[in-house]
Amino acid sequence: MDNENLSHSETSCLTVAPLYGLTLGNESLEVSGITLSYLPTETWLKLEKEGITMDRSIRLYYESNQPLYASIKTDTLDNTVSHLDRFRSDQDRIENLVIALKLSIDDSFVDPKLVGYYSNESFHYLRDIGPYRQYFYHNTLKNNYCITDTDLDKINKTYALIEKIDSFVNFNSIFIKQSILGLFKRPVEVHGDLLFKFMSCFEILETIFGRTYKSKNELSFAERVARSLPDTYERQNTSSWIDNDIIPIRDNLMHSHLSITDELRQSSQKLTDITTLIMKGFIQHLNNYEINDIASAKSIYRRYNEEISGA
Amino acid sequence: MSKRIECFAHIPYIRLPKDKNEYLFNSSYLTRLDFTDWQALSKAGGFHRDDYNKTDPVFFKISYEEDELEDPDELFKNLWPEFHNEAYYVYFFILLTTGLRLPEPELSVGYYHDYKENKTAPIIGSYYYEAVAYTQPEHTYEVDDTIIQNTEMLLGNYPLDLANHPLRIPELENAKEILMQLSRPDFSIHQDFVYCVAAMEAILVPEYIENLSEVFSTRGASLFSKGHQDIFNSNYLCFKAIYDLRSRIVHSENYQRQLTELSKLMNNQYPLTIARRVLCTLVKVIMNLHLESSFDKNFTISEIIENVEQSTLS
Repeated sequence: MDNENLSHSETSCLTVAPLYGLTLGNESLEVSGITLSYLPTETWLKLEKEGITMDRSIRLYYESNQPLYASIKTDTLDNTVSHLDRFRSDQDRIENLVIALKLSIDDSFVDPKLVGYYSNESFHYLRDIGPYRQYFYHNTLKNNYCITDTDLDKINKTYALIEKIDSFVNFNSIFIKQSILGLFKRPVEVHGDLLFKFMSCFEILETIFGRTYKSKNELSFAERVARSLPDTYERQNTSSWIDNDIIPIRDNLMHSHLSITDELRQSSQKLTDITTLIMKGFIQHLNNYEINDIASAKSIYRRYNEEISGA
Repeated sequence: MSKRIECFAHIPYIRLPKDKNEYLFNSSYLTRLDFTDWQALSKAGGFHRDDYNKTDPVFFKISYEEDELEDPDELFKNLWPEFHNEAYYVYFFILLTTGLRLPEPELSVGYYHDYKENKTAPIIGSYYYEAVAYTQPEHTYEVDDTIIQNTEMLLGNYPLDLANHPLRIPELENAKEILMQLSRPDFSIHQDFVYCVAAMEAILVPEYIENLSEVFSTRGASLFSKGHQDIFNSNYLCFKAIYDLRSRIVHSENYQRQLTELSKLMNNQYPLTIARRVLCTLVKVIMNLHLESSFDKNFTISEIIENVEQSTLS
């Protein structure tokens, strides 16, 4: 356990967020200045400070479960940035890491936004507590994914790509990044999640491929979606499946003429799998682009569409 | 002989004014619970009075006088769903009145207390005690007399057991689901905006059409203006600005200018909250038209849209 790295001094800022559902093969790992490690109980207690029921059972629970944390420690000796600004910027970086982890290794861990982000600078505390914090203090997640050294290369590459996307014009706050997070499993599935997942997937596909957009070689929306899938996919079938099944379901959902059926369940799961694959491919593809070449997010999509169409 | 049962449902993220301890709706209440009373119900230890008082949680409560002969387990099975429905109904009308993102009561805690048996069944949702005991005051919204009066009016006009209830019209039911589910903090404010516009689109443009933004704005503005041309013009600009912003977000284009424009049109309101407020108003406008039709069982959204189209043309 890297206690030294996570201990606090008067001249540093420490921002942390728990990653429930992940464990580590090592004591700690680092991805572009973000440390993945376990947080000592005392550090955790100080960050929580107030607002949780600090009875013995919670402490014991914390110690027996030991959630993994993503943390950023910054030297604040020459401090010109306010604590709040630093907290927000650290949050953005950790959120990018969350997307990178989800796209590169495992999608079943919990988005820290739902549990909380914490920061401590010179004993000044900031917290963005998520609504499910208590849930994770009372429930143990099963089948956690264990990150090992062999994953590091993949994570680093994907994180670098996500950071690159962020530096494209206005990409930071756009819908697609939010939709990617919405695509993954949530801690508590409730009625309606299925529909939102289906709609989120469709929104992502519509954003990238544009339903009314025609590539130079006149490929339709469904054909371009299918072409962006790996070679192992049966593209012709996928294209007709999107045209004949997915588009009608989406149009019916928009007009609330459909209830949840087994057919919708299956289609939604398949669409989620395909969209996740497409997102991974799209993010990888962006590696070929230079920031200076890109005028807007829309121009990224246009260029991607033309490239996969082979026009 | 009868015995008394009390049911409580915490409504997350709202608070009562300092000088009010409860509001009464017919036979139900929106009420505070003193920390000691709450602890007695929750039977969970280790909470701090200060944290709880800072949250100042609000509960929906109904007291039932029930036949003592009924089996307590059966009573719980029958009574709790009935209470749960009513709690949801009041909660949804508060949401509709305020236009806020208020998560469902089911996510927080509820209590069923049998006085005779002195037994309590806590019903713990997936927020556990987070929303009831640790919400920061800046994340809560005060429900005042006006909100309560408007909620009461909705409850009076549209009782839960109303035959042909307007919230069973598919497009309104869809809007209701979106308003409730997108209130969950799992979703971003951008997603909330986009899905609220999608729900408006499902009401205003049920058919496949080319000039969607134009038709969406014209129909929305017509429904809101009731024939007043000056109001129509300003409403049209608002609907148009909402749809433009939605398109820019969905198609990943820079939308700073659209944010500013929409905010300016809506008296500097935070732009990404506007779609939700407008959707709430749209739902109320349709409900009102249904009321004016005396809950005609043949009432459909298509018919409303057809009338709107005709009045716009004339």
